[in-house]
Amino acid sequence: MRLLSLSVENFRQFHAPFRIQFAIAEDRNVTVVYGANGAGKTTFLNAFTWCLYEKFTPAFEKPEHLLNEQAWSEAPKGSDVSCKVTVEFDHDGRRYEIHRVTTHRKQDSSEPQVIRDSELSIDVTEEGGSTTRVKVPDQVIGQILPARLFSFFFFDGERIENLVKPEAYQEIQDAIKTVLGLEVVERAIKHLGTAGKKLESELKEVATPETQKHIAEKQGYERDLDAKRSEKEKALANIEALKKEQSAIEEKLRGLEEAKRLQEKRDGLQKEYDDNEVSIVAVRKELARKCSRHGYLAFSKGLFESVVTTLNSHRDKGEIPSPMKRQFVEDLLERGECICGTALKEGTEPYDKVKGWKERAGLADVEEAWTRLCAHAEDLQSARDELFQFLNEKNSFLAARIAARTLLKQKLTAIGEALGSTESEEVRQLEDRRHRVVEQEDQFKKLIWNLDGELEKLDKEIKEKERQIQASQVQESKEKKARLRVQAARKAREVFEKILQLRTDDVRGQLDERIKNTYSKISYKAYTPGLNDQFHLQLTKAVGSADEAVAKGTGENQILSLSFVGALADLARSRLGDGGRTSQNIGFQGGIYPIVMDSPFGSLDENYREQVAGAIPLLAPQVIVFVTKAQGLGEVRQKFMPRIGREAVITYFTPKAEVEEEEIVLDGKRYSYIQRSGNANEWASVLEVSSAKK
Amino acid sequence: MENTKVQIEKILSEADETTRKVVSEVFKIEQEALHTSTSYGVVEEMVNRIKEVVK
Repeated sequence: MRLLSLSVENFRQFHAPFRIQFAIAEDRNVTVVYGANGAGKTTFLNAFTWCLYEKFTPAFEKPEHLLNEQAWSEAPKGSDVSCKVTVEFDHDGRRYEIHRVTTHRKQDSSEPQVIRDSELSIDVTEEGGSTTRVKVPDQVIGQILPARLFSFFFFDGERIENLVKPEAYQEIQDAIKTVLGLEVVERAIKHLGTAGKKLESELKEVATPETQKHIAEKQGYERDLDAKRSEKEKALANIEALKKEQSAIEEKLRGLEEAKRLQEKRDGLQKEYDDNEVSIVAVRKELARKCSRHGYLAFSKGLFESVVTTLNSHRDKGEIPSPMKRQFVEDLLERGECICGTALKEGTEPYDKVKGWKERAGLADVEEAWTRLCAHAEDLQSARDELFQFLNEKNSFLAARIAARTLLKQKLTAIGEALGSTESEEVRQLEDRRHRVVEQEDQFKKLIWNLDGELEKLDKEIKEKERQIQASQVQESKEKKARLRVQAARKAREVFEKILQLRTDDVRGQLDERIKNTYSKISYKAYTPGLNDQFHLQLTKAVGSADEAVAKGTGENQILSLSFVGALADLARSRLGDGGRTSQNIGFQGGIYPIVMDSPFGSLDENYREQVAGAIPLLAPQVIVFVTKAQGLGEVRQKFMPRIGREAVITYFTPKAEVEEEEIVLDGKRYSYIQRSGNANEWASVLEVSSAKK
Repeated sequence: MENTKVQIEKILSEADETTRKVVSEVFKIEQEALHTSTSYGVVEEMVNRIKEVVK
């Protein structure tokens, strides 16, 4: 997908129709759109997402009010007013024009009547030039860039750091599965489960009373399992809603002078606390893994030395073949002389003694086994030493993390208390509300913990019932056949589950590698980014021989998230090159995608801005960014400059007479940036910047 | 990636003939359903195909 142009009319603050083209050259792949805060940068981004997916980014307020107010107020009664967006792009040799229109009819009542609600149409032009209108437009966009992926390619840069938060883990996992085209496998697993239940019900009809009883019990457990799962989903949704509420309260506290300092301090401590928790979980997992694989070594104190000593003693006593080779002894006897010079004559005592050695001399395989055993004993001994060293290191690390947790908790509690007892009533009320929200979150977390235990138990019960059904006697061939069908559905489901797991792990590993690569190009810090097996985006640093999670600042979070987006775009591109379009693959087939981002530098300091600006053009084959002049000029523009193919300026017309008008200067030319509208209306227009360099 | 493909082939080769047939049929049904963006009738179709495989 290569974005060619965007046309907008009567969409929010954009009243007059305009069309903007985007940079598409390989070496000049960046389009920069400058606009003041509130001028319409976020609207611009959402013009894409509305047109393509009928969706909006989280920062887009009042999405139900899309129609331009001026157009509405100027329209005569009885007329229709449309809000339109057209996105033009090419993909896989075809040119697509996506149109989305909402039309309102102005009537006597103040409420507009919707005539056409978010109507989508797509025209596709083939390489030969013929154009056709697509019959099922939603499907076409979904196949080019699935809805599950759009938020990774069209996003608000200031909020991109949310990808490192736990709420995003599922979204990341889903995106990965989509990139790999695994929906078909996921659907197969889900549908086979239901098909299996249907087949089991049929089995129940023809089975013996004993089997019927087992099936009925199993079905009861399954119902419980479904109910508990649904309860867990609700609890998770509640936690998410509470987290949003908590964020909103904290945002308000940050905006209040009396609470700002303490809230910001709490933000920092909370980050530290969260990272500390990640470290604790990670090290506990490491310990569990090591103990399950090598824990036996801990119980082998002195065992290996004692084995070697015992065997040596047996060999000394001649009870085990010695390391002497039989051939060597035979050679001595034949030569008639011992290595000490003593003559060896048959019938003499020295001869008989040496001959006795021949009987005890080792066979080759015994000899080899002996050598191996000794080597293994030594290896095991050193592995045991290493195990203890590892356990000591990790346990010290864990103890330090747990101590840090206690300290951080105390500090966080103290801040909560301080905010709860300030003079400002508003702050006190907000803090009180926050406290209750956090308590509710904790209650839901406990509930989930209990539910997980119950789900595990039910899962075991169901498996046991399955075993009993399999083991119970079969009377008729009808029942036998029905059983085989149930079994076939179950086994097929297991195959799909294994495939899903394998491919998800595989692609997670590939993404992890790409994230590391992109991150190293942007950040100057000696941190290692990664996507762990739980799909958590993490940053770690080496502390001694251990990796420790680092407390990430906003800048680091943003860079880490951008690295993930770049990695995802790269993976989608490589999937296309990796035979995505073969008969064995279906659904999303990979592709080349642009990245469209609003305010990529919003909360970054100058240092990070330059680094991110250097990396953005490399993230995807086409990049469109929306920036204020404060964010996008100076060093940032210098960094972008070699890759800028097109630029545009959003001019914001304000109804406020007291506002000072502003201009933006690009390559020596002046463009209106903020202008007084001269009336009560507020609107924006877009002007493409012409430059000889591009 | 190559290693994963080999492992998937191994999973399939370790499955019995009936399971392989069911996997293949289910895959076809889901491919078709994904093309038409629908789940309607998918489970019923699966049950029927499984019955055909295990006659």
